Amino acid sequence: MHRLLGHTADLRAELSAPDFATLCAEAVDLVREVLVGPSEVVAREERRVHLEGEEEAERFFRFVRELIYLADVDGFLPSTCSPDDGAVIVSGEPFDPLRHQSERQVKALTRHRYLYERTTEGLRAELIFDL
Amino acid sequence: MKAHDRGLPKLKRIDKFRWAIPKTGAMQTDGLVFASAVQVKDLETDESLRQVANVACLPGIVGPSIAMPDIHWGYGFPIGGVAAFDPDHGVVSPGGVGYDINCGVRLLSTPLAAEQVRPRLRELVDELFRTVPSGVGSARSDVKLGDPELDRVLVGGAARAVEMGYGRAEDLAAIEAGGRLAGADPAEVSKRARDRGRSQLGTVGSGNHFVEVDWIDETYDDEAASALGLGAGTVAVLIHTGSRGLGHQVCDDHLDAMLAAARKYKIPLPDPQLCCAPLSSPEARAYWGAMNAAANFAFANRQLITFFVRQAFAKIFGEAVAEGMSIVYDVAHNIAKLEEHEVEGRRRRVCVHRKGATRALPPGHPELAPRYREIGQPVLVPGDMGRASFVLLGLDRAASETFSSCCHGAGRRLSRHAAKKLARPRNLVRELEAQGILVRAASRATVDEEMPDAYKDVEAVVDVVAGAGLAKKLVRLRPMAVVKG
Repeated sequence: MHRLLGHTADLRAELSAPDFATLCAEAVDLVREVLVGPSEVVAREERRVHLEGEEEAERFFRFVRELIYLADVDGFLPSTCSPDDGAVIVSGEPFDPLRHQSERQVKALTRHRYLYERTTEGLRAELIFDL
Repeated sequence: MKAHDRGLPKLKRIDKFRWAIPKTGAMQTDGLVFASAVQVKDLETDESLRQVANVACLPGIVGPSIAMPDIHWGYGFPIGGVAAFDPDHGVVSPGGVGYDINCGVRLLSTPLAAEQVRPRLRELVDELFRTVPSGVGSARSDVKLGDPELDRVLVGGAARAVEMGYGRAEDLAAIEAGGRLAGADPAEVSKRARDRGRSQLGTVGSGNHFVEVDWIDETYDDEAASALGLGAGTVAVLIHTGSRGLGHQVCDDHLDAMLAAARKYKIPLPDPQLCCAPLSSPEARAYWGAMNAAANFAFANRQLITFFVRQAFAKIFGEAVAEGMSIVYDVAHNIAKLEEHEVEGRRRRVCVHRKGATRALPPGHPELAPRYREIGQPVLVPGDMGRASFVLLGLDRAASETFSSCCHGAGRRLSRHAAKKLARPRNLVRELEAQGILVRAASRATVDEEMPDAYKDVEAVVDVVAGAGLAKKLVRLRPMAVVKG
């Protein structure tokens, strides 16, 4: 599950999931929605994102940050993802102005009030994006 | 306990426009907030005052941690914040500059009166939308830089853009620092940053960035306004954008290094986004080289956009009109610079961070080009797309009180989420058109999130800086057409 929360500078979101792989999938859905809203994104290409960082919280942070990088550097829109031996395979396709509604560009994922915690239901994260 | 778990800092009123946050706990200095009593009430609903206090905790801060009346909740530093640091004992913080390094505003004058433009306004805004890419995936296929050329842009800024044929030599005299900051080191700009930026030169981006056609609705000093080509009733163009993906990546890259540096140098951080390093450290030198390179990329970006804006005007109104379009000024509002200021009666070199704040040099300042020396530096203050924007002129009081800094805009009062909710049942493009303002945007989301109601009233913001004596009003601009991402 993910939802947007208020923040006067930019965009704040809360994500929760039973496990790390599902949380990554929620992040993929969130980033896609932020970039192109409800536009359909087809899994035509794959990008392998290595999970870097000593702690799980840092690995998740860097994973989301990489989604933003991929979108900015070659217009790659994420559709789905699956874990793969210390990495996450992200499927998606490049932005196509004829099929995708441009919603917003994301400059960065900030570390301000970044939250990553275990809950009784699994995992919860709070993210603030700079738009 | 995290900073945001604590209560908001206490404000002590100094006068009608000034409030102190007295030094407590880990704060090294007081906070100084410029705001009216009404604006202060709004600040009590978010984290921005806490952020002013957090900045005051950083080592080597000189003078107070300052907030302008357009302050709002940022990430780490508040947006609308100014902080200066001692070069020997202080720090530089990428969060104090922001992801969009040298995000800034450029104002162009035109020889056209508003009534000449109105009949062809729709053609003009369509042409501007076509010629200046904006929104998700915005890139230029006609300007793609290989590494050697990108290096020249990173060092040369707007001057290199002019050499490449995008503008005129006289444009440079109207840009802060001539459109080129010293200290740029392209070697400190990563491949990832280069890859993000190489096709984005000459693009506006999205969010609060825009190209806007305005008319001068009111002048407060006719002589100075006319000298800058801003006579009453004439049309001007505001450009608001920065260093695009290249700058965002420079910030990201160096934030990681600064987090490690803060641990290495044992700098306690009230917020990880305030991560920083001593100005004399290798981490700071690396960031400094990259930040100045990204700032030069931003100056070049606004220079290319100016070229394409002139092309659009030439297409609709003829070459002579484009020839008559001059840069009034171009100034950064996300930057850190080494500057000399008077602090407690003596001249000192300090590193001034302006995160959503504009430099505002007073008349006579030696850094000003001759055309501004008598009147002071133009301070460009965009408002929102429905109401107004202002050009101010820097005054001596800013030099003595705020490290020659002033507000940078209206400042948000609603989150994007709240604005979108408010806008959902409305058609803002149609509403604005009914007011005579044409909007062309890559997305409805941006228009909704950038709705006028999402911003504070820029006039009230400007009244505070004028009342406090930091700057004086020169002209008020009203929007006619807006191109958004």
